[in-house]
This record gives sequence, structure tokens and C-alpha cells, in this order.
Amino acid sequence: MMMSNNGWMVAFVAFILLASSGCSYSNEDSPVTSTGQVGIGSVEGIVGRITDTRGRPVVGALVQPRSLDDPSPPIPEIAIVSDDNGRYTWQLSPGSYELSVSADGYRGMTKLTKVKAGQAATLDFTLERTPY
Amino acid sequence: MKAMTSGQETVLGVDTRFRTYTTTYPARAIALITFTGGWCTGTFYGPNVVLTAGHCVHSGGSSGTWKRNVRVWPGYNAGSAPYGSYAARRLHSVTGWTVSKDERYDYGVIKLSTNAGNTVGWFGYWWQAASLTGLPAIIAGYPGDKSPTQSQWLSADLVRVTENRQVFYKNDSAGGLSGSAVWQDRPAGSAFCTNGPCIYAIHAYGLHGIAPHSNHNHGTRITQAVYNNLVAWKNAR
Repeated sequence: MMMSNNGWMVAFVAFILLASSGCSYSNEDSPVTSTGQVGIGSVEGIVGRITDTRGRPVVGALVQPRSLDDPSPPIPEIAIVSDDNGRYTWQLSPGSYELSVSADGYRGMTKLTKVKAGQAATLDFTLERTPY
Repeated sequence: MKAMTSGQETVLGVDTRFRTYTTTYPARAIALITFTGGWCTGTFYGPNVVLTAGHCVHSGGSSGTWKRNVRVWPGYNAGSAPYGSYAARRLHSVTGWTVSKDERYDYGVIKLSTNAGNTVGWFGYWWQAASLTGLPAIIAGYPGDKSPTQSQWLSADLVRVTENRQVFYKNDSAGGLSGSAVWQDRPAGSAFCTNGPCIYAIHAYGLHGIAPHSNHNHGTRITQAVYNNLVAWKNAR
């Protein structure tokens, strides 16, 4: 059976409308499962180390970013903390950020930095103990 | 109403959160999720499956990586683990997050080897094509701005805006609450999910960008496709 030019046009328009309608079925909903292998992805964002004034790592310090751009990019509401070596990694979109660090027993600290596309900015912190 | 926001700490006006008792249901079915370098929140929706945000299992985008050393702590309470902890067996998400890093597809699931949900219970979940605006919205989990650290807090509001893939509300949140279920308690006899806490979205973001993103906290909506994936991951061995 042949379809007329008008018929093809209607079918094409229907396809475009369906594809752009935000309908529930989308290739973007294709499921993906972890392979169990440790990935070696590149970091786009901010990395650094948090230490005390004697150079010892501060473990479990909470690192919170705030975008300085308008409009600001989405920042996942994840909690990022420093590891046993005081190191942290925040995966963030390119832009300008204020990073605040807080840890029990230490004075909080805030610094500014910029993230460039495909790169990791380094931002280290040295925290002072609060008086007892 | 003044919004105190850093994109991470998003308390809208007066902080209305209250602390939960994590040895009672449904709070015990809400879990702290830890991984190398941070934490999130998740919710049991079956005996061995925990619903969370995509960014809690994968950093997002084609250069992103799966989270390492993922562990689930149901009912965790500020240093106390009344129901123990469980290593992730598998992590699940979708290409909209792991390839495109699109916030509208920011959802994931942690599959466990053990049926911890048989002890702590789990939530129901459902989807509907109609708008969710006006429905009660409850979120609960482990916001990083609260003391003591890693204690569980709950916030209640309403769905203010519904989009195809996201819902928007004014519950108070902060970094660490990502992955919390967005739910309502539905009475017996309700259509679809019934007789208990029923999830219709997954919390993921504070304020950013332009409205409604800039004046509402928001999460990924359970659409039919999301629902189908949740069912498949729940039933997978």
C-alpha cells in the first residue's frame, strides 16, 4: 500500500510530536547497572585536602559548595566529607563557587574558586582548632 | 519568605524539620547510604532494594563513575546502627543520568544481597499521569546541617509544581538528604498505592537556575518508565 505525501507528512509530524512530548517512555530511561569494577573517570569539579595547623588530616569535615553564578547550575544535595587522608572530591559543573568547610572542634573556613570545563580545581584548607 | 540557600543547604523560611525515632516504622525503612567520600539517603521499597538519587550511586555523565564502597544503614541514628549495615550488591541507574547527567533522570537503586527489608519494612510506590500538585509531600533522611551528625530528620509540605519529570515543594532540605523518598501517607482504599507511605518522587536538588527550580526544592518524579525500572530492579535476582 502506498502512502501519499500528505500521509508521510502526518506520520513525520506525529513522530516529532511524540519524540518531543516528554512522554513516559524515553531512551534516557534505559537502565544501567554497575559492573563491579572501579571506574577511573575524570574529575570536573573541586578537589583538595583538609588539614589542621600541624599538617594532620581532618577526617569527616563537611564540604559544602555554593554557586556564585546566576543562573546557578544544579548541585546535588549530597553530603561530601573528607576521607582518612583529609581529601575530598566535589564533582561540579564549570562556574564560580564558594566552598565552606566545617568540622567539629575546628573553626569553619570558606574559600572561592572557579571550575573550568573538564578540569579539577584544587582547594586546600587548613583549619584551626576552636578553644576548649 | 526568605530562602537560606547555598544550593546545598536549602531551608525555606523557618526550619520546620523534626527528628525521627528510627526504631519505628516507617523511619527504620529509611537508610543512611555511605560511600567513599560522602553520604546520602535511601528508602527500602522491597526486601532487598533501596531507592535513592542517581547521583548517590553514580557521579553522572559519560565521564562519571559508580560510587565505591556503597553501604546501606537502615534506621541509622547518629552513630547507632540498630539494624546493622549492608554492602551494595549492585547499583542501578539510567542513561539519562549516567550518560547525559540530566537532573530529570536523576534516580537510582541499590540492590542488596540480604532481605533487610523483611526486618525494617518498606514503602509503597506508584505513578500517575495526572498532576501531583497539592498532594502532601514528606521527605526524611540525613541532612548534613543537623546535629548530631547523621541523625534522621523529617520535613512536611505540599507539591507546589508538577512537571513531566520533576516535582517541586518547599520542604526544608540540605546536603545529605539526596535520595530521600518524596511520599504521602495514603489510607486504605486509595487508588494505586494504598494503606501506608507511598513514594511518588525522589528528592535530589535544592534551589538553582530559574523558577520553579530557583524557588523550590525538587526531585525526580516516578513516571511510568521510572516505575517499570523500579519493578524490574526489585524483581531482579
